Amino acid sequence: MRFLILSDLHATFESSEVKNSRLVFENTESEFGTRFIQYCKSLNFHFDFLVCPGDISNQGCGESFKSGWKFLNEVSHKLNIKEILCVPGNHDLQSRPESNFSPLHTVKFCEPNFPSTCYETNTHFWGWNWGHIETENFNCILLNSSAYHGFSSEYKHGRVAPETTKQLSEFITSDKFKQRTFNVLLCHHHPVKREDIDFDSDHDVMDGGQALLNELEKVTSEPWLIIHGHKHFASIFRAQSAGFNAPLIFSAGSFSAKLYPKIESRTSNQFYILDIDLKETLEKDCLVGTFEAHSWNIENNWHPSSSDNLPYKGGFGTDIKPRDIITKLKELLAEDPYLDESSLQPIYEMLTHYTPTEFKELLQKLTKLNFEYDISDNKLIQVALKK
Amino acid sequence: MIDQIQHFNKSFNAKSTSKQNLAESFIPNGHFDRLTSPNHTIMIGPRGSGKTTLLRMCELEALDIWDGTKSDNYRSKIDFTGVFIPTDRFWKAQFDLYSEKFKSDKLLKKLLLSSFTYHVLECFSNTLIYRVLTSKKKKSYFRNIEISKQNEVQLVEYLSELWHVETKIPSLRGLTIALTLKKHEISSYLSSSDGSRQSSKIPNFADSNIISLLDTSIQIVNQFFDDSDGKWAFLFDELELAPDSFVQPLIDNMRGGPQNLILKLALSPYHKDVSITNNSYSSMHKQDLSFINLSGVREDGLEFAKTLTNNIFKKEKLTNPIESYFETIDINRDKEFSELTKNDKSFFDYCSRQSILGKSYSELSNNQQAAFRRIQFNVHLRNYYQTTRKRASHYYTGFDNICRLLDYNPRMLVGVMSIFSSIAKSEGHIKVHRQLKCIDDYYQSFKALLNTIAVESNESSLNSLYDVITKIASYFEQQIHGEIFSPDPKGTITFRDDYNRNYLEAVGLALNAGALVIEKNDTDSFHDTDGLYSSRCRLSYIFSPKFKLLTNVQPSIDLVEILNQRKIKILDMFGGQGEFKL
Repeated sequence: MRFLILSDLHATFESSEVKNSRLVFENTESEFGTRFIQYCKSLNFHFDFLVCPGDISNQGCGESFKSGWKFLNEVSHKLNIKEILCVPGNHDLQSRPESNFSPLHTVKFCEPNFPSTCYETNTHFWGWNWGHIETENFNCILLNSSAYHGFSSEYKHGRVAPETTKQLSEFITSDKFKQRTFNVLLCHHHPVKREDIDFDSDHDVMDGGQALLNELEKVTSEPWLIIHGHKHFASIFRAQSAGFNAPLIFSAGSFSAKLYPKIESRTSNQFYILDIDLKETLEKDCLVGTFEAHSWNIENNWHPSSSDNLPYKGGFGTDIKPRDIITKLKELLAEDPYLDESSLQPIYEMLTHYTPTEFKELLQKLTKLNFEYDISDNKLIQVALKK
Repeated sequence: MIDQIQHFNKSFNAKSTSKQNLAESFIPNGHFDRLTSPNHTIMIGPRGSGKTTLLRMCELEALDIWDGTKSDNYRSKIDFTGVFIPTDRFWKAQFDLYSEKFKSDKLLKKLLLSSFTYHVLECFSNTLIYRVLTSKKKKSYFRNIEISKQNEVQLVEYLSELWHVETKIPSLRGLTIALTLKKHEISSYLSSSDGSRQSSKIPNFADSNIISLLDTSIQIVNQFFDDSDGKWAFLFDELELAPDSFVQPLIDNMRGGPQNLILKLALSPYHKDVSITNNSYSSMHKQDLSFINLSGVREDGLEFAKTLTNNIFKKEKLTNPIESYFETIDINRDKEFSELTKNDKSFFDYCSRQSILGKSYSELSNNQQAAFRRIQFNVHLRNYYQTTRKRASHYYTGFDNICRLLDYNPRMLVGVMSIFSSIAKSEGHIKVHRQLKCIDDYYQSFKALLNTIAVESNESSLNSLYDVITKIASYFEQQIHGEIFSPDPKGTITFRDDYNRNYLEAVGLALNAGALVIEKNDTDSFHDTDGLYSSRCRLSYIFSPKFKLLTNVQPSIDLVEILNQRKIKILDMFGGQGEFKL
């Protein structure tokens, strides 16, 4: 099951005074967008779903929302992707005073329909701030974490009301929610605090987010994948959990927004390819898969990421401990004076589902246990024992 | 939208181009044939003349991935492994600074020199990695070697000991990393020193002469590669940026050096204090080394220019004969002669003396026709500029003439022809005014570069190298457009007078920048890099449209007669290395 994830586009126009994004439309064309489609085609992947956790527009501009949403549909069409999973972000709503008679008007009445092609799903989404899409292999909950924007100071952060959480809980435990291999929660705001990004208090987190995650874990035994945007800083990690199956949180970076100074040296404009291994996920009862991150910069255009957040390749759902890898390395080094890319193949297989953080922990252990190693683009290139 | 020239020196810079792009666009020529011979070679040429491209194409990886039509042929002939060694422009400045700082400490001076040695070793080590690499990245497996890990580890052990480095991982890659770290260690130690040895231990370093170190290293490598006769060519680029104390020994070692070590050096036309033939033990041209002179290219460069331009135009799907895209206006000799005799008394008198007055070309004898042809462009220019013109003469247009104006310089050709290809694609052909505008843009760009090189003079009007060039150009302009018509206007300069030693630096810098060009007698005429006294130079033809000059061979005059014993001193010997925008 393969997802193509583009988040926080912040589409804008050539004529706009404020250009916060690289996805700039001149009439209906954007060179940045065109190059992205060409690049994606060159990767030769088949995608099952296109996912966008919101902020398609910039600063509530209705016209750029329409262009951005049209662009996403164009991506879907040109890459033969059957369905788009999308939610609005805070920038998609005209929530500032005097910008429109309703924060939701443009997004509710645009063409093609938003966030989904199904009238009933959309009705439910706009009515109750959430919607459900059922697919062959997973359930997807679309959550509007910007639902209350336009009222007092709600625009400053996300929110999921306790009543919404209760509704979701009841729905999930009802017959209408069929068991699938895994579940997806798609929302714009981050459900848990991320003070590590700006090294500051996190005031724009989704209020009620942690409670929602706790409830989801309580009422289902299948694993959850949470995909969100908003922070423009990519990462992948497990949420806090008291149970076996902590939800996996995929925090998508921004596809095309100009990054603010605190993060611009630590991440980049990216899109992601997320692969869920359905068989392993079912067998291990835990979300197992891999991801690829592709970055953009002026020198190289689109290219496999060389950033740490997120690196080009990584995974999730491993049950292989670092000590197993270390044991294997010792075994291999008993036969060889050093290991190179060819002799490291068994190790690469063991590392397939390691998250970037888990990989870093492994490297720390290697250093402590007197291994010497050489890394290039987040990949072990050579390993030897210290003399 | 038609692309504009962004940078004068950046339209194609082989230094920053990837090996893949370099190999894809490479056009071999006679110079490359000579460079790929298994001999020591010195190659001189101004900026943009193709030195770096030619050297880089001798590198192992470039030859491996090159898949042009003649690539297999070259791979079968080339009998060495090329190691490309770039030079950093800040080296010389840092070296001079530290040399002064450490002048009282021999060991620290040796340590300083060793940083260059380690740079060479690092390049060598990278080439070793490529030779043993087994990867899909390789295309033709040129000079590929298979070596077991055990042997590799042993080889690395020997080389580490010889080179005084410690590898963390006993692989060639680990060795290269160790060399990089050693360079950094030395650099950090030197920069933190106040001129004396620090309390922290002086880094361990290889204290041998670079040639003997490389020789020993090659012998060890060849043993492990089971290739005892294996030749290695060290391709030193931009040596004008390297300390002289490093360059001269390389040149000196071209005579009687180790048999498996080939040196190929790229230098500017002028390099103060570095001589190829300074004493009786020096290397000799055509005996110990071969010499490639990329300066003063004339019609021998036209075929290359055509091929280069065709490749550029093909990218825009323009496949007609290249000349057909360039509008030209023929010069009507009879009309020009007739007009000038009417408007210019001195020319009238000349024609009378030569008994060609009032006659058309077809009415002249053979000898008279030959003389007529010799002066026809001179006549045209003098006639054309009788009145003040906004636009330069069409004498400077047409494909052949444009190439000549650019001195067949590959970098300039790529820049200009890329623009012309866009124009040809959108407009069908390139009109005269477009050609002249583009050349003028390039001239302005070159002028700006030369204006950044400051000079000190006892004449107030001489503030930059461009002012010096203007002085020379204005003199030649007067030769053609002055009061009296001259059938043989002076257009080149010599340096026979002793006083020219005051101008040597300025002339040298002008040569290196390409503003002056050494006239050579044949394709690979030799000239020493530290002395210009026996040379004859001309201005780059890029100045011709601005100063209304000819673009053919002309008689010479001593520079002293033009500059009239004004004193000129260069204030910035690194001037002209920078880049700038139009």
